[in-house]
Amino acid sequence: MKAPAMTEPLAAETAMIELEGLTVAYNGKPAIEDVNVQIPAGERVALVGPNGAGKSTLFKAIIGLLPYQGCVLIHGLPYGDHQDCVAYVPQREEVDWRFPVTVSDVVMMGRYGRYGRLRWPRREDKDAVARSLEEMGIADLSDRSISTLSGGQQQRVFLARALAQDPHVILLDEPFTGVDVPTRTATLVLLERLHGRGVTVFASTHDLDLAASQFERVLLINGRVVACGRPAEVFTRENVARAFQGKILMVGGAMVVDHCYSPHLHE
Amino acid sequence: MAWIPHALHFLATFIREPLQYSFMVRALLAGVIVGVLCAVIGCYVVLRSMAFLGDAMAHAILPGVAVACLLGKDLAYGALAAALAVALGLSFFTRRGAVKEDTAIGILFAGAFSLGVALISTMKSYAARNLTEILFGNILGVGPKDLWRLGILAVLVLAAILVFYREFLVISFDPILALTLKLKKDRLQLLMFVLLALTIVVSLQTVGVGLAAGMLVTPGAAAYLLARRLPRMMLTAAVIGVISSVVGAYASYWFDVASGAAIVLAATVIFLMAFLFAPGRGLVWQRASGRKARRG
Repeated sequence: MKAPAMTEPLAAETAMIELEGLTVAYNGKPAIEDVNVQIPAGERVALVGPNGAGKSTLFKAIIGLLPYQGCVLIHGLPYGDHQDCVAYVPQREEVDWRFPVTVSDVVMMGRYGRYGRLRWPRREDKDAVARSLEEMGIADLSDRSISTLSGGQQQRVFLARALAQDPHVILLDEPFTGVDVPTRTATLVLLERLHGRGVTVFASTHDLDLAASQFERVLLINGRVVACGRPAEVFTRENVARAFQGKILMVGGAMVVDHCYSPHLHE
Repeated sequence: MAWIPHALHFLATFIREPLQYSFMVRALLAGVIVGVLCAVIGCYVVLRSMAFLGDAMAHAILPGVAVACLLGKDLAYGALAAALAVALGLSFFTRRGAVKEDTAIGILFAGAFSLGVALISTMKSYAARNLTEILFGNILGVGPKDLWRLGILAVLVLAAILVFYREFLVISFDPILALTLKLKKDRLQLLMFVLLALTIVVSLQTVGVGLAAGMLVTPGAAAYLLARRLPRMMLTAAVIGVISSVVGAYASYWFDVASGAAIVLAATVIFLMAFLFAPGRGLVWQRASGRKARRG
């Protein structure tokens, strides 16, 4: 990582994630198009947009899961040039929760990239797992089979695994969707702490309130970038209307996003 | 209770008599090797829903066997060559998403199997005698050389499974994590296919191409119902695989049943027991606890 020069202000504009002309297409139809964004190191960034705006697609392109055109730079280098400095917290449905592993087995997977030559967990790996479980408040579940967990507990297992990876950048795909209140709170506390440690947090959500109150920066997309910047600059009526199109209602001066609205029903 | 000593004596004879023949000892050893190997790698087959792939791979080995036979070479080398070709072909097909994976497997499998049957049917005298053996195995016909080969291949495959345990666990449970950890997912996938192919070659002798999938899937599926963690599941599956093979070998000796069929039937019975009675997950258990819950 390039150290910022002394003259630069802290939280400097050394962009941690740079997306240049990022385009991802499924069968020739672009899901996201020409995304140009710079995310400074250590910021909390909310990725906001309606369903089908390409939020998951953007994340999957960043971690190299989907082929893309354009450029993804992390610490100024193409993604493949790093060891595991990027942790990705997928939506919970992405894995089979009936798999015969325990909670600590799953969290230990976050350490696999760091094993030494012997390729066997060392003291520090076990410590990291214990610490991560503790931090997410699930130390008591460590020997439980993952098939017995509730949705909120599953989410915490994923977060603990990302923590154990000791990442510089953490990508979270809809971490606040369908979780109980304690897990939501625990997630927010975690993001706060990661922020304190200088970890860059990039989380997708369609909760505009949350994005405005808990993140320093918002990236509003709908296939293309609608706006990017401080929440107050981004969440103008015009921008939100552009991103959510017909899905927005004005109720007594307040903006309400109708997530059930589907443009296909109205075509 | 006078019948008890008689029964014990009968049982002792039942078990001991066949052991005086070296072919039976070899059969049992082969059964144990194949039982363990198929069951252990079979756990991944079950967890990754690759049952169809395993079956396809086994069938696709047939043309290799046929060609080896035509050339007058050792059948096992033909099977080995075909298995590796199939593993490479499948990993190529699944990497390019032009055709859906199970469709690709279906095409490859049916095509290769037909080619095998076509080739064998041209060798008229040979076909009648050996096709059944290739399709359903003959555990009592394992020679000393075969046994050595089984042993060496089994040690190689098990060692690879042990060495790559963590990598295989991650690509099976969460392929996306594997990607962010920079694991070489495609290569690991190919390695798993190759190990699977080798396992099938090993199992050819005891259960044949027709029933290899049974040995791969059934013990693993039963163990899945009985174990909470992967190492335990592999161990349980191995025990089930060994019991099935031994039972099958005896059935083959005493009742002259096709060995592959007897082995797979034994495994199936064990699976059904697990399905019904597994603590926590078995049907009977769930019914019983459901009733309790309703009453409570």
